[in-house]
Amino acid sequence: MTTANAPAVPTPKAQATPRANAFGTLGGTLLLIGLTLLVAELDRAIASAFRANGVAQNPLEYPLTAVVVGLIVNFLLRATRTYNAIRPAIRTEFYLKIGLVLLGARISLGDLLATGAGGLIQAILMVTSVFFFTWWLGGKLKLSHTLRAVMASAVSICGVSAAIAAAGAVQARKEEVTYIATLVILTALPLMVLMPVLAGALNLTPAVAGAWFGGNIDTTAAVVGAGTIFNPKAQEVAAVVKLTQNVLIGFAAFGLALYFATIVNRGKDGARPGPRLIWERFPKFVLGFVLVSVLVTVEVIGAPLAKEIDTAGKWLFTLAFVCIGLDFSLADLKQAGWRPVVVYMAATVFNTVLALGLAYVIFGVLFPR
Amino acid sequence: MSANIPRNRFRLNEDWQATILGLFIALIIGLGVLGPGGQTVTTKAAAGQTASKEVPTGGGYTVSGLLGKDKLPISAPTELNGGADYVFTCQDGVVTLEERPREGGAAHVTVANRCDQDVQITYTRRALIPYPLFRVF
Repeated sequence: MTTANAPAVPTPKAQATPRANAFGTLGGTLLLIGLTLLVAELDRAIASAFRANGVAQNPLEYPLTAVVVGLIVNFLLRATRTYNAIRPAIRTEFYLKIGLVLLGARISLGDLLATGAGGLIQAILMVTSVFFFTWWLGGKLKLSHTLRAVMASAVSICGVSAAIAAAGAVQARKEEVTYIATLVILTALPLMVLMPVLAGALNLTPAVAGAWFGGNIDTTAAVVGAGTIFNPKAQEVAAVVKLTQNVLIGFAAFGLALYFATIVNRGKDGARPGPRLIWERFPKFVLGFVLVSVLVTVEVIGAPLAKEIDTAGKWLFTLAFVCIGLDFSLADLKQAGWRPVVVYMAATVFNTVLALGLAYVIFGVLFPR
Repeated sequence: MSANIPRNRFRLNEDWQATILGLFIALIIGLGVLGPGGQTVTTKAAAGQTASKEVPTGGGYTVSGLLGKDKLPISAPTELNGGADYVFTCQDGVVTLEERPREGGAAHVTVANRCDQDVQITYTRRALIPYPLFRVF
C-alpha cells in the first residue's frame, strides 16, 4: 500500500479498562443528560429574551446553542484532564441515528417517496462527482490511497459514518479516520450556521435549501441542524436527502473494497469482497425511519402522539449536537500537515457549488415542492 | 480497522442498536405507554356547528364538558377504541353520545352542537410516567 506523504498521526492512547469504561459511560451519560436539559433551559431563556425585544422567532436555534455548550464543556474537561474519563459516552452518531428513526414520525410515506425520488437522483450525481473530484485531487497532492478513499467517502457521502465504512473496506488506519472525523466537524460547524443564512440571502425555497444542506454538509447532525435553523420543511427535506445519500454508503464501500482488492493490493493476501458487503454497510436505521413513517401514515400511531415522538427526536438531536461540540479536537489536525486540509477544503467548496446547482434544478425545477 | 471483539461474542452493531431503540421509543410514546406529560384533547363546537378531533386510543381518561360556561354532566366511556368516532350531540341543553365506526386506526371525538351556546368536550389522561420537561423546545 502506498503511503507517500502519509500524515503524521497521534500515538493511540492506552486502552481504558472495561470497568473504567463503564464508569465513564455512566458518568458521561449523566453529564450529557444534564447538558441537554441546560440547552433546553437556555433555548427557552434566549427565545424569551428575543420575544421581550420584539423578535418573535428565536434566530439562535437550539442546535447552535447545543454545539456551543458542548464546545465550552469540551474545553473545561480538557483543561481539567477529565475528558478521557467521560469519552465513552460521547456517541454523536448513535444519538443522531435514534433521532432520525424518530424523525420518521413527521414525514408521511407519500412525502418520503416524493422527496426520496429527487433525493436519490441528487445523491447519485453528488456522490459520484464529489467522490472522484476528491480522489483525483488527493492523488495530485500525493495523499495515501487509504486516506484518499476515507476522505473522498466522507466528503461525498455522509461524513464520519462513511469514513468509518470506507476505512473498513480499504483497511485504513484508525488515526486516518480520527483525522477525517475532525476535518468533518471543523467544516460542518461553520456550514451549519452559514448555509441557512446564505439560503435566506439567496431567497431559496425551503425544499431547495433543505436539499442543498442535505447534499453538501458532510455530517448528518449538522444537516439536521442547518435545516432546523432555516425552516421545519427544510429540515424534513434535508434529512431525507441526507438519508438517501447515506444509503449509498454500502455501494461505495463495496466499490472501494473491490478496487483495493483487485488494483491497489493486487497479489497481496486478502479475500475479494462480495455483494454481502453492501448489506453489511447499509445504514439500518434508515429502515427504522421508514417503518415509523409507515406506522404514522397508516394511523397505527395517531397524529397527536406522532407530534410527541417528533419532540422526543429533538431531545436525541440535542444530545447529538452537544456531542459534536464535545467531540471537537484541533490537536489531530496540527500533526497532519497542510495537504489533506487543502484537499478537504477544495472538495467542500466543489461540493457546495455543485449541491446548490443540483438542488435548484431537482427540487426547484424538476420536482418543485 | 480491526475490532478487538472476540469472534464468538455476539454484539449488535450501532445501526441496529439505534434502530431498535428508536422504534422502542416511537412505540412506547406512539401507543401512549409513556406520555410526554398528560394528554388533554378538547373538542369545541360553536352553536350550530360540528367539530371533530383525533384522540389517542386507550383507557384512563376523565371526561368533562362545558355548555357555554356551565359544566355539563357527561356520561361517556373512559376507554377510547381505535376506529371509533365518539359523537356527542347537544340538543336542548342535553348531551347524548353515540359511538360510530370510522375508517383508520385512531379514535375521534366529535361534537355536533345543536344548542345555542358553545359546547366543549375534554378528554384528559395522565401519562404513566409524567415528563413535564418534555415540551421545553
